Amino acid sequence: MSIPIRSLERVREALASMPETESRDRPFVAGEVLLREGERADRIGLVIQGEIELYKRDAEGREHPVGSVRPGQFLGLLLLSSGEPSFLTARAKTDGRLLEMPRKTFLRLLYNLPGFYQMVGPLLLGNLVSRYRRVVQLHLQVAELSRALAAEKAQLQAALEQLEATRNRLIQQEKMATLGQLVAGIAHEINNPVASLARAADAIGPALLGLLERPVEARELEVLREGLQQGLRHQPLQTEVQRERMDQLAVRFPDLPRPVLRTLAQVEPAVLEAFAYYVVANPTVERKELARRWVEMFEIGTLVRSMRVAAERIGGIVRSLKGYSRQDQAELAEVDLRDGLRDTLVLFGYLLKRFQVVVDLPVPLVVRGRPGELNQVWTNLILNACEAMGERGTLTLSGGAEPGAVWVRVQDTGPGVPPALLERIFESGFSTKKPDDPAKGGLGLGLAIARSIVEQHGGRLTVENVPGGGAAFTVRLPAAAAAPTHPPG
Amino acid sequence: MKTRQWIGIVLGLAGFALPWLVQFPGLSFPGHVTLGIFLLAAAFWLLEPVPIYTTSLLVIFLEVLLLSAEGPLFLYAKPPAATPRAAAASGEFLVPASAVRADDTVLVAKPSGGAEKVKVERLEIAGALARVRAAGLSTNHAVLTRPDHWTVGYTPTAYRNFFAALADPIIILFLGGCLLADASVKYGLDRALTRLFLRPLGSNPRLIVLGLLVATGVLSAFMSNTATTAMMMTVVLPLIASLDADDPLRVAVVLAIPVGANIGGIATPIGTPPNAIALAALTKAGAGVPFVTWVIMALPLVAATLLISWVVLLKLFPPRTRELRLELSGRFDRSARALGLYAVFGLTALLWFTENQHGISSNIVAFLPVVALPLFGIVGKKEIHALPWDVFWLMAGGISLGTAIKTTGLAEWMVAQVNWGALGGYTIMAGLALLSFALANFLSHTVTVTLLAPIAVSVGAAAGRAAGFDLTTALVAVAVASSYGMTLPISTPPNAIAMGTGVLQTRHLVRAGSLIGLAGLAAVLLLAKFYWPLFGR
Amino acid sequence: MSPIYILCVEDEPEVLAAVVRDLAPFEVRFPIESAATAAEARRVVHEVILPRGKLGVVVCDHLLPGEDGVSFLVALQRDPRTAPARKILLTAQAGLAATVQALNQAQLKHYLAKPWDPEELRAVVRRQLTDFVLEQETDLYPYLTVLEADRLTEKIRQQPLPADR
Repeated sequence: MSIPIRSLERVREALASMPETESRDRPFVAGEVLLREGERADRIGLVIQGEIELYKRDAEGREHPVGSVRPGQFLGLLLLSSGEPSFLTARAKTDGRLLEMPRKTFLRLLYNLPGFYQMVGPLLLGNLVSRYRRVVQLHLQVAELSRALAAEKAQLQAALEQLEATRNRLIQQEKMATLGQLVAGIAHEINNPVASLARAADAIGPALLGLLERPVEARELEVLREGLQQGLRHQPLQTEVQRERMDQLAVRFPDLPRPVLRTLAQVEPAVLEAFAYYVVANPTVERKELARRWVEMFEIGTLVRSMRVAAERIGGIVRSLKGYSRQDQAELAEVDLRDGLRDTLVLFGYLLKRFQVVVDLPVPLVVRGRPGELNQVWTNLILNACEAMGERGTLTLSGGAEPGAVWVRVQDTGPGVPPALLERIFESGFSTKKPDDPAKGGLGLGLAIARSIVEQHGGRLTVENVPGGGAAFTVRLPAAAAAPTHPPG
Repeated sequence: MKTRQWIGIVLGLAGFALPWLVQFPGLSFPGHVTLGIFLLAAAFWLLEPVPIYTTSLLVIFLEVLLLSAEGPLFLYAKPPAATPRAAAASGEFLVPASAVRADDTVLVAKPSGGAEKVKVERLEIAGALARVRAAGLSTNHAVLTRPDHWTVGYTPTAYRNFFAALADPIIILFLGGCLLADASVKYGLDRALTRLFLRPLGSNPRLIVLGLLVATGVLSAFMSNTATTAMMMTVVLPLIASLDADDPLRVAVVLAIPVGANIGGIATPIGTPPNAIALAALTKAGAGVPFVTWVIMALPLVAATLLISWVVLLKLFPPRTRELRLELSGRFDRSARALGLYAVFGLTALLWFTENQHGISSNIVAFLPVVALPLFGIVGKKEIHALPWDVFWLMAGGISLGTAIKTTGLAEWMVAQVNWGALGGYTIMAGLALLSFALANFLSHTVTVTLLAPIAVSVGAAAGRAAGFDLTTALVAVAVASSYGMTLPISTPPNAIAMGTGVLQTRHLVRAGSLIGLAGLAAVLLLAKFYWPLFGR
Repeated sequence: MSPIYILCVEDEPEVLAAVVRDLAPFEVRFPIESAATAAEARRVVHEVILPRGKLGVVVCDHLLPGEDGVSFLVALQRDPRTAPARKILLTAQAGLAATVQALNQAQLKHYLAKPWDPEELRAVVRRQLTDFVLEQETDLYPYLTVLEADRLTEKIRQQPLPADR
């Protein structure tokens, strides 16, 4: 609360006219420091003109403006009661004048000189009151600011959570893209054995029916059983070998239709010779008929074998799938990295068909970790290598153990990584891939995720260019403390 | 060019040159020329250095050049002649002495070609001149100074008569038949008829083989044997797809087609070119038979041999399966054009079969479809272009060669070389039929009959009825026997088509073809003895 | 008459055997050759098929070791001796880009997904062989028992009728 100028002027006149006040007129200029925090000051001033800014230093030594002193207000009020060092720093904001008095004098006069108090009392009181009011206002302001702060904090918290959620979604999307490839790979891998299983199953029915149409004599049974065994045991020939044998057989038996020649080409040569001799030596109708049935039994045997092989294939893929996607994420387990690597290779076999794949994993690589996440790492590294190599190349998977650590290296024969980007490729969002196939859309998170998983497992993921072309990603992980005791997944 | 063809060229040229170098006594000059053409044609037809229709055209062309009045040979080869000079007295002329023949005649050149005999009275011979008195001489007409010139005795035909072979009425007959046949294929009539025949037969394989024989036979009586085979093959091959690979029924079914086609073609004059050639030769010799008569003569033979074929096929290739499902597509087309075709076809056939009643020649009737079908848009340019013009020309060559052989006296001369009277008429005819059958197994049937028909005609002229030789029977027998020549894949195009399907092997065809062919030949000889002479004149 | 071949290319032996078994009914007229890689298929085409006859139909998987199926089919299309052959993809995995390339550059005629229905496979091969024969062969009779008879018959009937000699 400011004092009306007229009264202030009267007080000043009065004070100036009393020599016992020892007051003097003290002009000041803007920027002048009138009180320094921490310093003792023995004068009190009444601002006549101008404005003085008060500053307080905080814990870190920064000055904060905390108020100002205007005409009619006292400077150094707080010093009145004690000789404490100044609470605040006073710096003039504008030019001005104040009426200065020694503190002790002011106090002596205040207590002892009658009329002095009447003169300056209201001023003092007014100052104190106004300062008190200000404090109350400041309290209110603080309360409000606190509320606002709390609200903002809540907002920020919410925003942070959303960001976290978005990041998780992006990671999920990346995983889905990989999953898409995984599903496609499984579909393809399973398709082939399913197709051959279905076709063989379709063919067996009529073949058996045909066979059972005619009665079989006891002595023929042994021969036919042998035919079935041969069929069950036979190994599929390479097409080159099959063609050669078919050509030879076509010369020997020009009357036989090609499908029969193809079947005969599958029979072991020694067995075929004995068989042919049996028929050619004495080509009676019965022998020819028996020969025909032997061939049919052999074919049934091959069909059964086909079905068995196909079923095993499908079983193997399912096993690999289960091993790959072990979702016991929260639990750490001791795993041999080689299992996960092999499962990943099986499930993504279709992508690797066009490349040479070299696997060099001679020793167990046991770590403590979450196998599902580690499989994600192998997947990302292998997919990355496939992308880099394009149409053809060689993928090398190697691994080894050192005291206290194991390492796995995924090496490709692609163009390598430009040296300037060697560190940047692990950054989120960094991608050199152009998604021409939506299923392969790179969000650029693959390597970032891989690195993050490796680091969560206490390891390191690095990349270097290989002399001779290509890049090699090396994963180092701390070895498990104990020797592996669990059976391979 | 294979060796065979080179041999053909050499032999042909040699044969052509022969009569120019060697003189055959008793044969006129034109006869020699015709002999040369005949030998050339025979060599070229037999060994085929050039396509056989080309040979036919060559024949016609040579005839025009060398035998026609306007051809360069007779155009520029005029017998030397001189105009008589009037002697002192009226009615008396001076002529070159050589012009007077032994029988006191001279030959006066006719303005239109040829010469005319005029009797003269010899008055005096003075050196190279002779004075004669004759009524028919004048100073306007030259007399031939060398009455024994080679141009004498033969009145060359106008060249248009040789070209006319290309449009011989028999060719027209054949043309009409071909156009009807092509139109039938275009509108699927052949398919519909086949379905009609075979439907009632159910699924008994034995009956089906008979049905196929009869259906193919009926169709090929009106269509060319080859076209019938081609069409029927597309019908039967899908039928046998469901049979086992080693079921003999497959062979029986596939063989039934060419056999039925070859035999069925015998039934009508338009069934196959040899029939038409024979009929043309008969007509020229004045012993032609109407369309329906031919059919009556041939039908028993056709029916009998179809039945025999049926038995033979089933015996040689017994079906293993009990039933054969037939799924034949082919409805009768009901569109306006198709109905028009049925009308034209029906009318033509009716007129042919009633020729004896109305008297209009079947050749004239044959032109009805040739006019009506394009007129009503039932066939178009495409079908006209697709007609077998090479076969027509092949036939034309044969016909014109036959004519030349007759008119130049070559026929009589050839025949005169053998004492036919010693052999019985039936023996001669049987020998001709046998020869026709034998040759037809290796040669084109048309060529076989083309070569043998003139010989038959000549023999007919020489031997005469007295020896029991009936020309009609002989020519019919020659034509029909050629159709039974079906032993080898090369014997006839229907056989080749059957082999080309890959369903049967050569030995199947040879076995069946020889058995059926010989049976047919036997039937021919039988009918020739007892049945056909009833139709001769 | 030189034989027309069917070529099957598939790297898994059991699947290849199943395809060949399914196409056995055609073998009475069309011999079948097989190969496990594109390189081997190329050898078979040049050393066995082309010297002895013609290549009619190729049934090819896309994912093969080394060179992939579509590249092989494109190469076949570029060679004028094998360009008329009908190309069929029988595969579980061929992306859009590869399929489009096969259509545009290899004149792919049909795409079959694994596992396949044997009747459908036979119908497709029968249709394609009929197309090939109609286009390339003049004598159609030998194929009437095995291929689409009505289409062959149509062509025969439209050709000028052969005439007797």
